Amino acid sequence: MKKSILIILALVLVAGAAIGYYMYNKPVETLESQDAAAEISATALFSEFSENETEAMANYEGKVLAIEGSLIEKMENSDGSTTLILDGGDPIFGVKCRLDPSVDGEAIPAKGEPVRLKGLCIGMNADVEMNQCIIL
Amino acid sequence: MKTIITVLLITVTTALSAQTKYFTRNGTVTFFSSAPMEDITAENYNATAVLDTETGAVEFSVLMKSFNFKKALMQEHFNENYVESDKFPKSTFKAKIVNMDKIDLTKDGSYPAEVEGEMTIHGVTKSITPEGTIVVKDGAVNLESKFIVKPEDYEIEIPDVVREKIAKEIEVTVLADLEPLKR
Repeated sequence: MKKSILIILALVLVAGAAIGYYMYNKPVETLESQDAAAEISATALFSEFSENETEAMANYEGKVLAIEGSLIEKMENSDGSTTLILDGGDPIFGVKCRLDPSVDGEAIPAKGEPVRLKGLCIGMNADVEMNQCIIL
Repeated sequence: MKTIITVLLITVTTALSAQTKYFTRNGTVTFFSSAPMEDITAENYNATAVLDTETGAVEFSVLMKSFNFKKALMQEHFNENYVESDKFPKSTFKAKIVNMDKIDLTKDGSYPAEVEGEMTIHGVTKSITPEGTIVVKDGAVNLESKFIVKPEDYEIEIPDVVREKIAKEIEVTVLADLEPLKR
């Protein structure tokens, strides 16, 4: 009797440790399975941020957004990932979207083409920034 | 004589108005923490940097939430508990390259850069003097620098429980491939 309690206790401990280890090492999840909280054009998003950053932060920051716009620049980052700039209606700045490294390069449209993507809005630093983006 | 002066003036003005601003919006900022229990790396590939070669003024800015970690929990703790990204979304470094006059951007080469400036992280501003390198190649200007940041200098509190996992001195590496600012 005593032995079986010990065995159960040991099993619970091992399971607990395994769950803890798993949670601790869990990688950052892609946005694949997450639904967009809002759908907005890149120009509308950029103008909302430039007109009232505080309000736009409250509305969009930390949210997964589906955005659509014209691709004006394609940049290769030092880790091989790609960052896209979507036209925001401003001569210099726009919506800067870092693609998730899992995105297939073939899926990225050419410069000047329209692009639709889903990503996490993280705020404004001259450009409005989106992270972990996936092409839709 | 008058024509010569006019020509000369035009040449000088054109030279003066020549490209002096260099820019990137996908600079790399990484940090590395080496502690007895664990090594942690975080990478940001979307730093914005501007260099004015006329004055040597250089400015970097990053959104804290664009630092990517391998582990979800670390990314969450970094943003929520340590740098408090919601309260302090941006970090900036506003500096001057004091030996800009010794750097010839028209000639390919690698030049040491002495940098003096103000770093703002977690809402706290500190003066730092990191050393950097400017590499000029085919009209492109690359900036590189590596320096140490101490979380405690920026009032970032690391609880004792994770003290063995986070270094007291964080190594920061900055890489920026700058291009002449268009438009």
